[in-house]
Amino acid sequence: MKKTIAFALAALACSTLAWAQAGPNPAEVATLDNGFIRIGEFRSVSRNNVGASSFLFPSGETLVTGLHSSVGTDVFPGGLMPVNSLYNQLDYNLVSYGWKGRTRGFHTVEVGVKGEYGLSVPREIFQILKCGTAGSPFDLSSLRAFGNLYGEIAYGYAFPLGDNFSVGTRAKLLVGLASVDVVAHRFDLTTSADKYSFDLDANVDITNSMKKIRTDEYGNLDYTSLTGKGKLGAPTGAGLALDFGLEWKPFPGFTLAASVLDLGGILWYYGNEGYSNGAYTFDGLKELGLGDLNADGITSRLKALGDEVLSVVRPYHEEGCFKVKSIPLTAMVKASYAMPFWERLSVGASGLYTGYSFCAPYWEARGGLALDFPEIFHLEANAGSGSYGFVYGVYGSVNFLSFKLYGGYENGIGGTVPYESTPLKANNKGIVAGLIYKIAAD
Amino acid sequence: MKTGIIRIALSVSVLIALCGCRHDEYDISDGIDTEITLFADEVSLPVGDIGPLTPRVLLDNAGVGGMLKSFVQEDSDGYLILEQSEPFYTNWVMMLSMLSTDPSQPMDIPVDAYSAAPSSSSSTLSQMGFSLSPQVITLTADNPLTEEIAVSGKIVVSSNAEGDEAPATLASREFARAKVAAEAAQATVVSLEITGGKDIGSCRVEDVVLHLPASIMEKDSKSGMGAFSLSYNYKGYLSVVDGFPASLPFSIDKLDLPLAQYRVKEARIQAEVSSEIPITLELESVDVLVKNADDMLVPCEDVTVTPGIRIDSGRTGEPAVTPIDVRIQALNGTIPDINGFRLAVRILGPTTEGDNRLGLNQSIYVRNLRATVSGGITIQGL
Repeated sequence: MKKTIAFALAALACSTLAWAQAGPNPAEVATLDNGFIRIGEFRSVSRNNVGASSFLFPSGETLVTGLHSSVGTDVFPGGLMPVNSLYNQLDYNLVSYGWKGRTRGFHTVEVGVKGEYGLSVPREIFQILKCGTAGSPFDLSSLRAFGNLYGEIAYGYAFPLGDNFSVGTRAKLLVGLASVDVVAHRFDLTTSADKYSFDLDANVDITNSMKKIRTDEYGNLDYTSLTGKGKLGAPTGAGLALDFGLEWKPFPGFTLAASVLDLGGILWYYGNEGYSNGAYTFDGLKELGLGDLNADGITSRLKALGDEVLSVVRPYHEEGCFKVKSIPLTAMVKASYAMPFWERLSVGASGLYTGYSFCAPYWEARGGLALDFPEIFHLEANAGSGSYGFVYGVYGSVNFLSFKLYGGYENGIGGTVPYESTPLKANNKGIVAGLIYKIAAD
Repeated sequence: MKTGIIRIALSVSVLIALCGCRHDEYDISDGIDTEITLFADEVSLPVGDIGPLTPRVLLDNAGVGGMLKSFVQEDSDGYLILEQSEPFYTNWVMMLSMLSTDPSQPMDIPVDAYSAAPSSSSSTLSQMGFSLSPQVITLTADNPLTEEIAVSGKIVVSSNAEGDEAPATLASREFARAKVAAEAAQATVVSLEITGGKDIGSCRVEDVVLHLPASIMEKDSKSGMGAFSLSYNYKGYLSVVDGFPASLPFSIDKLDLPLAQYRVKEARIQAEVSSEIPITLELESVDVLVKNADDMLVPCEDVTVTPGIRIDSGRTGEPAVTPIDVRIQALNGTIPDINGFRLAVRILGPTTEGDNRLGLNQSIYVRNLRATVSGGITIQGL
């Protein structure tokens, strides 16, 4: 009975106001007496600072795109962000094992895999398409696409300091599996009636755990030609990250927790390394003759022009190199208070900040209610505001025998486009689901 | 316990309601209108440079190059010319030696006067609006002797008679003892140039005398079978002095520009035309041709093209640069599918005096051609 109560309290600590988008605070297991095994936790985070409603608009009885003539320029692209980004993260915790140490501390070992990918597009691109070239010059340097896949092996240790204060830390060995990163450090486009010109400085970093990209006769990466045997899963990078956390319970019913997660990065080896650096000016097709002034002639000249542009844009192959790239850093503060008149109901507040190396940081603040019936279920709801507007979330868990099944869902207001599941508005969507098996304490 | 269950039920209901929040106005089950209008304000883009275009290429492309060459010739530099050449005196050394009373003495041989009239092509070209300027009359001589000879005489160029008035003398030149080098062939004795596109009625060579040295038989490498000869040569360079009396219709009727689908309202085309051709071109009007229900080409009343485009004249090596600005505008709707253009082109004389010879190798460039489309380009379907 005593063990069961202890586990129930631990479950409450783990789940109370545990929003889906942040990993667990390493300090929250400090006071656990029993061990546990967590199997297959799945976590998904999707953060878009634009949604379908930034690109689709009602017009009469139908929907039109922002490029439709009925949509004003103040709405589109005026309603877009300076940099429009899409970020998705998928974490899969294969297994976690936690046990009480011989001393007062609590140990955890976790093995998982993480994947993330994203895209950012500057508003200027839509500005050109919608309005034309009158707004020249354009800065397109925030154009970026990336994707990373890496494994994570973590060891955590948490321990109480006194009766109401706990600290925890978690060290993670990161094993890089694959990475693609296309970055435009400089991409200036100038358009006028006399000439179009661009100045580009971009890098293409692709790991070669899979196949090696061949180079063409000019030394450019040729994506249509691959060589070598597939080595999917072979490490192409290594890194380290640290989590820190603390939990403070200054008086009965009140808990204050803070954590910093994923402080670190990965040293990737990019075997397929390329760079595009150069300027190009197009001031018209030259020496057009009468024979060129037909569809075939013009197409032929445009094809030659395209080849010229590609000679500047196409990444030139460089020797493979190592690059350190940080992983998204998350900081979170949470506070909860169990109501004195009914301790199963608690109120809470939290703040979350995520810093990215490739786009603007994300932040949010939420308040919520939690309802907890130990050994039966736990349920909570929260709402607040963040970088992309209103957000809400729900979280719940069910206990059955020695198992605890939990899940959470978070989103911004506005729902999704029916049948498409496309986020309607800028959103911060998170899903978490997992299963814990409790191990009885000795 | 009952209160607790109610609280739980209420909480769950709120959460389900939040999760199910959707906007009906974004139901895309019926699809999205994929019509888009790009560059709604204005888009400008450089098109390029066209050229060099030469009259030779343009005339051949228009299918009139062969016709023109039936009237005129082309000299080695590509200038269009009318040319006549006719020997009017020939005599053998042996014959002249036999006529001489004392072959050991120098002798003067008088030559009969000669008159020539311009070819009929001249008047035909004149009726078409062309002029001949400059016109060069040259007297050439063949000297079979191993010693130089001399020629004297006079060239008189006269106009056509107008009514009862006698022909006027347009130009004349006397020449005395003009030298002809030993064993020269077609050596120029004298040359006379008339400018201004004057209408030549006749050209007379008179009072011509061959001044021969002594002992001409001994100085003929062909032992008396060599021949003295004199030739009249006329060369008139084609030019446009006053311009053509009426504008010329010029049609381009094999186009298929499917522009209607893009719903463009206005397009502006700007360029600098660099022309070496010594004529001034004035585009008086441009009709946009579209196909009617019977598949016939008819002018489109709704589309206007900026009239009054003028391209200044230049000359070989000294091109004139003229900026042009053409605006194609749909008055009410949008620019339709274009199947051709009907141009009214006025050909005027050059704006400057001097060497205004027309040549088939003179170049015309359309430089820095750029297009600006206002009001957007509409495309149906992404």
